[in-house]
Amino acid sequence: MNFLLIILLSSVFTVIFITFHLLFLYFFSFKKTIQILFLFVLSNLILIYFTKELEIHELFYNSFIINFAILITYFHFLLLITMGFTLSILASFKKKEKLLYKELVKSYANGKGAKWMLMDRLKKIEKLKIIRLDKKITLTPLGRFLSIILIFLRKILVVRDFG
Amino acid sequence: MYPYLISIFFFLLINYLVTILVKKYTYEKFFMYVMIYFILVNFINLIYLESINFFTFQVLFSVTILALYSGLHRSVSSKIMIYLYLKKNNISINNFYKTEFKEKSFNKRIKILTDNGFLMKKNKNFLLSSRGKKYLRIIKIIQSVYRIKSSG
Repeated sequence: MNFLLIILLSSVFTVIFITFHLLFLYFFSFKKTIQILFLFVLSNLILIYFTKELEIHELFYNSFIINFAILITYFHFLLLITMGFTLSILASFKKKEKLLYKELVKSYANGKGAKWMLMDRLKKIEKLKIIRLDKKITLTPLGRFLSIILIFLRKILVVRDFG
Repeated sequence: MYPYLISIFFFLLINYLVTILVKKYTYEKFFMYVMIYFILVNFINLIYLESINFFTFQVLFSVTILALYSGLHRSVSSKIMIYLYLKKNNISINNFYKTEFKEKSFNKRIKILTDNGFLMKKNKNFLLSSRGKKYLRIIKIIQSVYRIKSSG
């Protein structure tokens, strides 16, 4: 019974959370993905209020963990539709039905091109002080440390290839 | 505490064995493995442990591990970092773009899309298959709902 109640609570959270996100997106132009953290807290506060009213607040702690898993999934979904590499290649066919290889490279990301994508990612990790960027790309000590962690995690999960 | 640690240990051990047994261990196959493991572990939990905490832990663990694997397997940023670390040297942007990014990332994605039946190649031209068109329609709808003008 408790299993079902927790799933029900998390389902209610999902509905509130996504509705809030869409409302804030349309009425307050919430465009940064990180802003959804505010909506996550707000939705959980509403859920706490209802669980207290219904005297099932003990179940909220378990539901919160599932809500956090939902946040990770939703965050991942948003990243996929805004920054997805493969998805953007498919989206290049929005304007033209047939594309030569060179046209496909140029029309990537609404005409910004494939090199723009690489530069965009490089600038993002430069902002985080992971690399130094002039004409050459150099790893900073922080970048080297994070790379070791990434290699270690790849070994643990046996990720052999890049997709 | 022990069931949590044992479940993580067995997850990693079985994953290692699966990578040996299965050819071309892609993200899709890892996803299937996580789903099967999640169902089996929670089936055992439901019969023997009956612990809600263990169930919620498994949900969070499965989602986190899928997000992590996706990042390690597909992220362009992580690829750049690992490449630079293993090369132990700096590299020019143009050189990296031509030799690594275009060849090993961009072309590889096009090959994956072609192999999976999303793209077709006809006389040097790339065009969407009916499956690709269907997915493009879905992408368009989702992007318009989330007010995304261009992705990449």
